[in-house]
Amino acid sequence: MDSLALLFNLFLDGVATGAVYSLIAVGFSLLWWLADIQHLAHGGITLTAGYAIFFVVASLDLPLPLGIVAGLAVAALLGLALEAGVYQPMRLRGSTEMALLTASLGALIVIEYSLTLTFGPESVSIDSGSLRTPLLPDMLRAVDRFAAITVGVTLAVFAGLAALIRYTMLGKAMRAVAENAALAEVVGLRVLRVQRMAALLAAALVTPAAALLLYGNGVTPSDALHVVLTAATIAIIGGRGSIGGALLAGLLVGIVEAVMQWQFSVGWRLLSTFGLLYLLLLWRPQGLFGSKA
Amino acid sequence: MNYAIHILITVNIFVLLALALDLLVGYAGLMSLAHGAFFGIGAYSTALLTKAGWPALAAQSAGMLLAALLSGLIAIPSMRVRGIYLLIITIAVQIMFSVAAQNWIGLTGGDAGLANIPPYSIFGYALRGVYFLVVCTACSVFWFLLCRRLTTSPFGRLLRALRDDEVGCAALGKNVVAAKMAVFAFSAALAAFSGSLFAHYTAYVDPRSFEIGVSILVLLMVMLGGAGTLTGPILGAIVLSVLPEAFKFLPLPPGAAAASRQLLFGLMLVLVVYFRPQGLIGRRRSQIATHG
Amino acid sequence: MDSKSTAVLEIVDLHKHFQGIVVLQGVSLSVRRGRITALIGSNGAGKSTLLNLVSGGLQVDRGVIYLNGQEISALPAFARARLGLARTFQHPRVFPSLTVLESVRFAATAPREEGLLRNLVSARANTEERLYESLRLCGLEHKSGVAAGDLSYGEQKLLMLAQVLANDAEFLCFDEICAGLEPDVVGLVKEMFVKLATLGKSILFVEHNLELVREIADWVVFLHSGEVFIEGHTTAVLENPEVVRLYLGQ
Repeated sequence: MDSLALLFNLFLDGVATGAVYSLIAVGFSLLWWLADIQHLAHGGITLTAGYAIFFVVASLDLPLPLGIVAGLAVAALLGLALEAGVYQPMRLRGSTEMALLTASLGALIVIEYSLTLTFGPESVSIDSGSLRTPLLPDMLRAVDRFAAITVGVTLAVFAGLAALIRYTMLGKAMRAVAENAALAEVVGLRVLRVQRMAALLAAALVTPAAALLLYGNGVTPSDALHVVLTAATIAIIGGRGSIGGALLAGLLVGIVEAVMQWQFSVGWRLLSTFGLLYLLLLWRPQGLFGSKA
Repeated sequence: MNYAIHILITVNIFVLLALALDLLVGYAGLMSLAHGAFFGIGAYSTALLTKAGWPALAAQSAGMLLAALLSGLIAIPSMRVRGIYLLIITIAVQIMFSVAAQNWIGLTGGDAGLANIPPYSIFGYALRGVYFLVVCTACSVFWFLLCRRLTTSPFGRLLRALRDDEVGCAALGKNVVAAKMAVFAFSAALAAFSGSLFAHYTAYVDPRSFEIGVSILVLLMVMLGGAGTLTGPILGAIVLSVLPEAFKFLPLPPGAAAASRQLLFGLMLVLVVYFRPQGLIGRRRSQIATHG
Repeated sequence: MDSKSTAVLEIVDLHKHFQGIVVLQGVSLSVRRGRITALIGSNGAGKSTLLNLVSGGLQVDRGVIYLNGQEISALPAFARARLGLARTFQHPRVFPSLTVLESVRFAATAPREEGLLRNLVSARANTEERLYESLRLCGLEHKSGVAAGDLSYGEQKLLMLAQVLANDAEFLCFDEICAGLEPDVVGLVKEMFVKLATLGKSILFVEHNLELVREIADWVVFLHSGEVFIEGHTTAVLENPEVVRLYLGQ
């Protein structure tokens, strides 16, 4: 395949990867916007969901939908446990931002190494087999059923999330709390409850992403930090709390990372993501679509 | 006997790292996970330069200078961003260092690392074993006293005020940016100093010793002991250098020991900030006044 | 009227808007040296915004600001402070982990004494006189060892004042310094203003307490709808029928 075709396929690959990143990032962005929580453990929750699905599908040999349910349940429980059991009590006690960040970091490490001890340090994945056969000829080889599913699922989830935020009571409550938590409390909204719902939502959102990762490149415990870092980077680039921003920034990061492989070896790939972030933070800390804090 | 010397040298190396991070975390209130990288810069600089024939002290100084300059990469954005933004930048710097150490094979030897680093020598005398320990201990004492002088000085007061309220500092004419750059540079240089000692001691460096895990461990030492006290992080360094040794006596399967240790560190991080955020010997800070 | 040499602060045609809402439209005024100037107006008239623009907390959209004849519009807040401008804030802004004495020492220390390298070599002590004088004037000399975060609301405001005094700046901006203070403490503040004037300081203060304005201000600027409606000697402005109609009568 000639160089241009390779580039183009890398681009499409990047779109698919970026879509998965966006799914993970949007949950992070939501929690940050709503509860001012920088939930580093989010990466751990994503991987845990992946491992849950793997366990159900590969080890117990049950159909995928059950795996997804298991993933959702595990992720939701874990997310809720952290929010209600760790973050909320600390916030209510007036813990400093640094203390909360440290707690989140600690939780991430606990999750990562619990997974390592349970499943081993090696990567696990599920073969996506026939989904990988290309749908289109040579130039667009990267477009296979799996990629199409990835993009489709992502768009569906984002559409659903946008609708939830805009049209449902929960969405309105979340927006009120994000705008002014103290005022929302006065008006009768139960802020703690809303924040817990957000944690549940964020955890639920990563489950499809975890599934896509599992069937794609696989999941490894040591990925935990990288996953959440990418998510945080995307959330920052897209703007805290911006759903559209998370999607666009995720695609951007995915594409840039993939295209970098055209010229640079995989090891340097991370440089592009962080380079992007660095420049953005110098120029426009509120991100592409965020408003000034 | 040799085992005891090994432990004590390790303790000293971590004491220096903990002191360096405490200046940032405990006094200036800036969270950083980049110290593994600065540690590594000191180590690799020493490795490369002493193998090329440089005297140990010159190589060490070069490493310190390089780390101080690199810290500017973090300090500059810290003017405009703080909290998690800053943390992510420090993580980014740390990871980029790891990536460079692994992939810039021509310079660092990649995963294979650099071996046969000459021992620490002053005026031509190579220092090993117990003599090296004496030097390390003297260094720890020296840097502790220096840090204590700094933190009890007007500069230290400026750092504490900065941590409380940057805008208030600016309103009184203080140059917040310059102060942050200065403390980052000093902290990075001290971490690099420690890295040099490490390189001379182990005579071998590879990327694995300077990954984000080290940064996290040092953070735990600081938080466990009590950020902002200097003596607290020293205690934390002692405890957490000795504790992993205890793991070696437990009957665990090979890979599990390392993972269990990390799991424990993570758990300790959460427990410390949850139950006793001021650490073992710190005191609770006053609540921040509401500014409306 | 006033040449630049007698105006310590000069503002020319200042404009500021926030997300489409115009807060200040073409404000020009000058504060004469040694004068106590009050800035009054209804909420939302732009008083605090003006103060923030002067001190450097906000950037101007259009217009120029001069301090002692030097243009400061592009300077960051700390640089303006070094040129002799000090301010207090509407809500008590102190350093919670510093003690009262440390706070005042901090405010009094020149920035060049606080460099890292300098303090590695030798740390010199401050002259204590001015510090205790500042604390005494604010009634806080008995609380010198208390952490600022542990003080009451009123005490924190007084500490903010003490810091400004210790800082020894020549142009002072106060933003509703008397809000939330007990009457006897307000009396203390009044005395301090008078003392500052005798020391040759120039003061610009935002205030809703008109009795205070009447008692200590030499000059009053009435801000209305983002513009200077009228300015002049205290009694003249406060008894102006338009001012009464637009602001005082409420």
